[in-house]
Amino acid sequence: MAPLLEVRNLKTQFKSKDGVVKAVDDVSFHIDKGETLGVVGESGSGKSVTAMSILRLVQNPGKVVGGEILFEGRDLLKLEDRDMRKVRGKEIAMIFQDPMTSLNPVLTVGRQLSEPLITHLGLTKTQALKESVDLLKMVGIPNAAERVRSYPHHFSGGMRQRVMIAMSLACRPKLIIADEPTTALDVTIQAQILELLEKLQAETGTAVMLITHALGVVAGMADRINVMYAGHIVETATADELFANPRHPYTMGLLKSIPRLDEARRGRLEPIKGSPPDLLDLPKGCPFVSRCEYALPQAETIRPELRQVPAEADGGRSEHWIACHSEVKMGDPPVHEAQEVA
Amino acid sequence: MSENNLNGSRGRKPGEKSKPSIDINRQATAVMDDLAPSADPNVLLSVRNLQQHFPINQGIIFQRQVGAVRAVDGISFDVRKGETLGLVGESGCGKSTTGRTILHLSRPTGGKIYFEGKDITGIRGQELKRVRRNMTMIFQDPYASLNPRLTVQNIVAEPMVIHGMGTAKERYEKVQELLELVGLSRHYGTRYPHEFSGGQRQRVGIARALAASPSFIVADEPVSALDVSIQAQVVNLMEDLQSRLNLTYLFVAHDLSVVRHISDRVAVMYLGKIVELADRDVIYTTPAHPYTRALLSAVPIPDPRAEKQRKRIILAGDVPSPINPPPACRFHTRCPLAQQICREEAPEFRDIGGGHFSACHFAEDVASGKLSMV
Ligand SMILES: Nc1ncnc2c1ncn2[C@@H]1O[C@H](COP(=O)(O)OP(=O)(O)OP(=O)(O)O)[C@@H](O)[C@H]1O
Ligand SMILES: Nc1ncnc2c1ncn2[C@@H]1O[C@H](COP(=O)(O)OP(=O)(O)O)[C@@H](O)[C@H]1O
Ligand code: SF4
Ligand SMILES: [Mg+2]
Ligand SMILES: [Mg+2]
Repeated sequence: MAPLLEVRNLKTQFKSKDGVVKAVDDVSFHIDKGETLGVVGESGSGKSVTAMSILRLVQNPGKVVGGEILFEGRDLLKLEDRDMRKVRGKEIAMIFQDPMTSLNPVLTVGRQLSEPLITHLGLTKTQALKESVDLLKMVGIPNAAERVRSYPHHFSGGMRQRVMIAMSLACRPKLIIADEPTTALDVTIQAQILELLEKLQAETGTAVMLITHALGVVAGMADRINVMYAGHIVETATADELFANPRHPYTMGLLKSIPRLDEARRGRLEPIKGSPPDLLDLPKGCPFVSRCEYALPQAETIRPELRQVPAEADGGRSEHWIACHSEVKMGDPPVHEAQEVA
Repeated sequence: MSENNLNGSRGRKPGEKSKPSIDINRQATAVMDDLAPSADPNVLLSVRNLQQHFPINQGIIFQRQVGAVRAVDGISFDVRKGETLGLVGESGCGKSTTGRTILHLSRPTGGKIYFEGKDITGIRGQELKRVRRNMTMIFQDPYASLNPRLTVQNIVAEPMVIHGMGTAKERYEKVQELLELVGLSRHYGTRYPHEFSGGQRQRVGIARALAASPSFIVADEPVSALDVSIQAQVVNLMEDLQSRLNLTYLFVAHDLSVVRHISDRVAVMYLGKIVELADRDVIYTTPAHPYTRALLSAVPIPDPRAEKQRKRIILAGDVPSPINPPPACRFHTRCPLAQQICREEAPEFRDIGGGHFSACHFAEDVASGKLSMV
């Protein structure tokens, strides 16, 4: 079965006076119908730019400079603007971290929910308003029939995010791209929103691309996960596999550096040394090389390509890929130590 | 109030991480609602019935007060010498206000603050300046909290200048030492904040906080704005400094995993009140307040298998406004266990044993699991 979305060799760059920022550099991945793909990585790793590229919302001075974005087989990068607008409203929806950036403060929530229903689905105003009430009910807004007449600022952060979700669902999209949908929310509200997303996804069969820097969130929600670092996908596997058998030193480093709520203190945390690289001044080889405990000499000069490694969590049925020259597992001693021993 | 009702593990050496120890001989019903400080010499800071109400004024010409934001509404706790007390809760529950009020960045509208046994509530002038040298703050936002026009040298030296410490040369030396102490290169002193990454800026903020050699530090979400890979660096740094310099921390955060890691004891706030306080592992393994239970269950765990087995307690609705908090138990509007009594009577913040405080009518049954929430 062909995937719902297939991104091939995507390159998106920002030109600045200091040089070219390769925000997304040769990224390929796919999303199947109905599945949840988690995208994790630290700030600046290219998660949002990937999302914006798919929707063709990258603003100047940014530009998609290469690759294909196949949605149900059609390359979105080749569509006329008019057709792309249809895809955006109807087939692919977006939920942002801050709902206020995408809600119009001077229009009632009902107006904003109705509009895509009228333009994309051809409903009448009355039908659209009725559908809007149903959507608000579906996302758990109490007194939906009255609340359609409210303005966004009358809602709390969590409720606005529910409204955003209602809006994204309005035209029954095949894919929802959710960029840090719960990052601005408190944990108890985050739990409400994640539960809602899961429930709605089960009901509607929509695929979700869930972007977050919180490993806990993707652990509970995602079927598969892409780990991004400095504009690259450095590891991709099913969620079970990635957490049970991480194979990229960056992923391992992330998992080691975070304390777990369900674990008693296990001594000092093990941070990743250094900080993320400057995208204007990336090393020639592996972008992680300067922070890596396992770097081999060739990592300085040769950029590692994604390569498949054996998956273990499900008896090898799923696919597991890493972009790394080294062959290491969680708990292996750092390379320089091993050399000293040898 | 009995003298030792706040101390689950006493006589701990500075810098040593306390283990939960339950003292069964202790009076099990102590309440922390009077205004006297702790008599325990191991206590550095006592807060008693602290209140911070911000007035809401209306009218353009004739301003009159029409209400108040009850940001902190009567909280009591002790911080022991050399420990880290974690303060957690959702945004707006009053964590930062608590920290700022303790540091006298705003005047409390009620209650008492004792530092090293002395009442420091409402002190001014020279007296306040002396106390301020001993307690400082590390802020959440490493971008906003450093003056962009000053060099790192001047930023870090500022508290010493304010407190008239040392000669210019001595201050220069001290800054160099501090930079090294927080893991920055000595020659970073000539640079400006914008030249640094978030993690490095937070190190500068920590160096600054340490400049006047304080004994007590309020760290207000010190790692929340940092990337996960950098958070661990700063947490480790704070722990190292604590044992080297014998510091006491009030560690304010909303990330319960980080708080479990760094704290000796943890206080949970909800809508201006502390609802639970206990030794770290006690609060995470046997929480005695329904809100703590819900909060813990909502934190995602980075392990898909663990996640699949967990049962979330999803609280209904939003946190009510601190302008009009619900009467009696503040949590009753969202509490899955609420009974009639919860709407009529405010639960006392009481010790249910071993220095484990909870403000719930059914604390014991919540802790034992007799009252289930899922
Ligand atoms: N408008 C822009 N102009 C210049 N550079 C940009 C612009 N937008 C993004 N970038 C750069 O592209 C890179 C990737 O940014 P992106 O927003 O995708 O990061 P992200 O992974 O979403 O991070 P976060 O977790 O902080 O949201 C960064 O280096 C960023 O500085
Ligand atoms: N200076 C102020 N004036 C009025 N209200 C304030 C002020 N500072 C804080 N508040 C209010 O007090 C409550 C607690 O705030 P805060 O202590 O910042 O919470 P937290 O740090 O737990 O997120 C919030 O409702 C906040 O809006
Ligand atoms: S006192 Fe009642 S409402 Fe308050 S937390 Fe306990 S059970 Fe819930
Ligand atoms: Mg982003
Ligand atoms: Mg705060």
